[in-house]
Amino acid sequence: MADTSANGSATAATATPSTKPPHSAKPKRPNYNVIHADPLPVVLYHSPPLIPHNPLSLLHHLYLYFFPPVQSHKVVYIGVFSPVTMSVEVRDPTAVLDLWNKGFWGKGNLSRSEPTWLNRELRRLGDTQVGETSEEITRRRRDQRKEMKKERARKEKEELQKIKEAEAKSKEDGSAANGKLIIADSKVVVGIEAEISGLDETVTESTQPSIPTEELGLPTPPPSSDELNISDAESKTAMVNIGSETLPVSVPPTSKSPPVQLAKVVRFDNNTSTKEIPVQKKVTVQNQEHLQLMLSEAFFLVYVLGILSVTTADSTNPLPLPEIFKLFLRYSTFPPLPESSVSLTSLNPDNSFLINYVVYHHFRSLGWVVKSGVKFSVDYLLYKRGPVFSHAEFAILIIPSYSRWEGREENVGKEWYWLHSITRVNSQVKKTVVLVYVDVPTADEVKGWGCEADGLKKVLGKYKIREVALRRWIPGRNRE
Amino acid sequence: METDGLTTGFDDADVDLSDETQDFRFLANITKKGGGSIPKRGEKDFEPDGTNLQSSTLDDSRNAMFQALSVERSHTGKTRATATWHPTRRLAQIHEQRGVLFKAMGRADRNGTMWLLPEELMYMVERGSLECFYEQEQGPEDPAEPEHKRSIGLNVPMSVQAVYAAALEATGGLERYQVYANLKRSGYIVFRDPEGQFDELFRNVGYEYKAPPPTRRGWNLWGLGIFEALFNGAFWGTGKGDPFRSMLAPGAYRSYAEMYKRLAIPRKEVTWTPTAKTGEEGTKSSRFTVTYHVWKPRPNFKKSAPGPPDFYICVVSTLDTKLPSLAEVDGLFKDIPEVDRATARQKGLYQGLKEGRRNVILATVDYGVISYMKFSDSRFGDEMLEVDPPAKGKGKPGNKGGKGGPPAKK
Repeated sequence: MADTSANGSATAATATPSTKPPHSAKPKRPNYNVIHADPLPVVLYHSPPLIPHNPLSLLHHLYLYFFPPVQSHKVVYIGVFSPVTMSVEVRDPTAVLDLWNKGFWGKGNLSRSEPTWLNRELRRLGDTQVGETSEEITRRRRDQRKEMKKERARKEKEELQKIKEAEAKSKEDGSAANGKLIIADSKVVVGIEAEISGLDETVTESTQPSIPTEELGLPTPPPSSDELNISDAESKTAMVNIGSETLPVSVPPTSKSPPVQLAKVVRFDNNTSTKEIPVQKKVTVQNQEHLQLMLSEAFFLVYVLGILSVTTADSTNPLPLPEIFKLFLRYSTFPPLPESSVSLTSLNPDNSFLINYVVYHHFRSLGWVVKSGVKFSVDYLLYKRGPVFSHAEFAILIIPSYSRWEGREENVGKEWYWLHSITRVNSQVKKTVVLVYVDVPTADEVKGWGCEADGLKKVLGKYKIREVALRRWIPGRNRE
Repeated sequence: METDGLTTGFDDADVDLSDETQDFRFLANITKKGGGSIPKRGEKDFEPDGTNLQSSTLDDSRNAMFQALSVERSHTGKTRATATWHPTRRLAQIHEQRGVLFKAMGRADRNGTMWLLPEELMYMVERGSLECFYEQEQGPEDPAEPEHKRSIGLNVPMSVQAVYAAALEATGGLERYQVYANLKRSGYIVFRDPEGQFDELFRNVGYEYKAPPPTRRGWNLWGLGIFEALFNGAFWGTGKGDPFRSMLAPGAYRSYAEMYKRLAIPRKEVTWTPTAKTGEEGTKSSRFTVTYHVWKPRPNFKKSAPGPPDFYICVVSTLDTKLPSLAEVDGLFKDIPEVDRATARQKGLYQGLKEGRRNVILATVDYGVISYMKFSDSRFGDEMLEVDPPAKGKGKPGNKGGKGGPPAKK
């Protein structure tokens, strides 16, 4: 999947891979296999190398085998529960990086998925050390497509005009040639279609030149006036840092020219003439972004893995697990349930946090990376290994089922048109919708869970899960 | 049409050409030349652009349609088939078997008389392949006389409308017929599910299709429960009595697979004991039963030994159903034989999960518009994904340039 370059592992180990060697036209992709090698933010235990002919080593190994050192949970990250966003916020940069790299937990609150706000900001301010972010790539692709459509519409309009003119002209010429006109015109149309179908490539080609400049890490175009103030101030310090030593920068920082300058360097080499390299520039920006964890994600990290502790905004003391559980149960709906209505002793199994969590846990524990599916009108998306490796193949739709409840109607409001609209949306993005029926236990079945060891695990085990994958079936396409 | 980024990932398999309106000019071309290649459809025009070219194209298309429809349909005497509708038996008796259509239709009794189901009759009459007659009014029947010898020839012909009126009810409703006809026109071989047969003659299908009696495991097999209990109880016993005890206690784990094993929540098997509630819903859930067995068109198809069907179709109306409940889905799947895990996995992880161990196609009919959706019994719980990173150096020799020999194991 990822570019398996020779220096892949070395670059990636630094976790902020630099993407562009100066000469290659295409930026190197970071080696995701290395960055995201760990599926969980828990540390593996590697036994020391065994030397078979050394009895001491053997003994040591035996000892380690039976009494291995505890080292899976090296740190416990801190998250703050935010009642406003109904999520858990993680601000510590190393925690954010770890949680994203090892299991793709959460999302950046200012980004589409991976927290990339800082990198985007740095690039906007002209930092050349930062690689292109996925948001930028997406934006560029969208712009290209928009441009292509504009061009196509323009061509269509042009051709239409041509036909109209020809028709008007033939009208003047007289009605005798009417029959001929149509034939002639249909040829025109064929011509147009051919041109349009060829347009795709030509447009992408014509917009191509704008891409490499960005990809090469060459300076971004001059910022608009409102941005200039910041970047000017930044560029002053930046140029002092580097400029004085190696690269003489001629432009005074006060000028209103773009903040990043190309410095011409003449080398003592006859073959290479003048070379343009971007000024090495360092910009410091305070990170405004944090990682947002869904309640299900946060609970998995707290309860199952035990590597996250959750506090509230007013105190730094970590909340005890029952408190967190209760909080999440309350904030499962909007508006949140009143505190008095949620009780741990008489747990209501039909709580949407519980049902969502059961499904989340089910797929996480099977090795899937589970992300929110709100963009595609479903509950979750399932990624194999993670979103950087491949698109989500499955879209999860949770269907609570109450077969054990007395007198409760099933699937209220889930009409066929509702289902069809969801499957249509998802087939457009090549995802398979999976109905996940969750058979909810009755309140009686979960009574007394708080007095047992592993009570919560037993409660979760009482929810039955059954997956039904949906696929549109078309008679004309299945005959073979 | 405005398309955004999402539509570029359009799945070709989901493009249904039959959704589009026919352009009859192509038909005229084909029939004129006697064959030829299948025409490629042009761009859709959505609004009048004011050119003569567009309006003349539209006129051509319209004329071609009228021309195609105005052709007189005729039948040669040779292939003319006739039948009599027997309202009491709710079947049509064929007088003489003619034409290839009977290869995948009807059923002969012991006397060699061919009988058609009501949907088969309607389909044949509708397409003009068969003429149907009313049963002759007669006095007290003579039970000794074989049925097929009675009342041939002197009857009153039925109109198409009359055939609908007579046979639709016995078909099980308009929706069922619409789906039947749609599948037949698409070229499939369609037979009713034996359970849905009201006549004994059609019950015997000549193939085994029912799932073997359930030797049910749980829906999700969750590793080895005993080991789990042992580990949790004996080794990590520090937090006994704690309902919130972490599932992954701090410790030394040699692989992620080992960790994931601990993350699994054991689930007990679910058996569907019909509660008071599901019993009450008995009539409703019976809407979700297999209606038709469908085979792909094949030249050597034999009615007497058709082999297992390729698809199972359940016809429902959007008027009186919504998304099936868990019990209804379970009931639907129960009747269908399932493949084992290895067979499902042969097509790969994704495809295996999408096709499931067995699947039913739900044909939802909304005022005549049919939408087919395949419901597959996926078993995600049986497929634990690879969680540990692939062994270093595997699959990419030459990666570690200078170092020779096998990659050192870490």
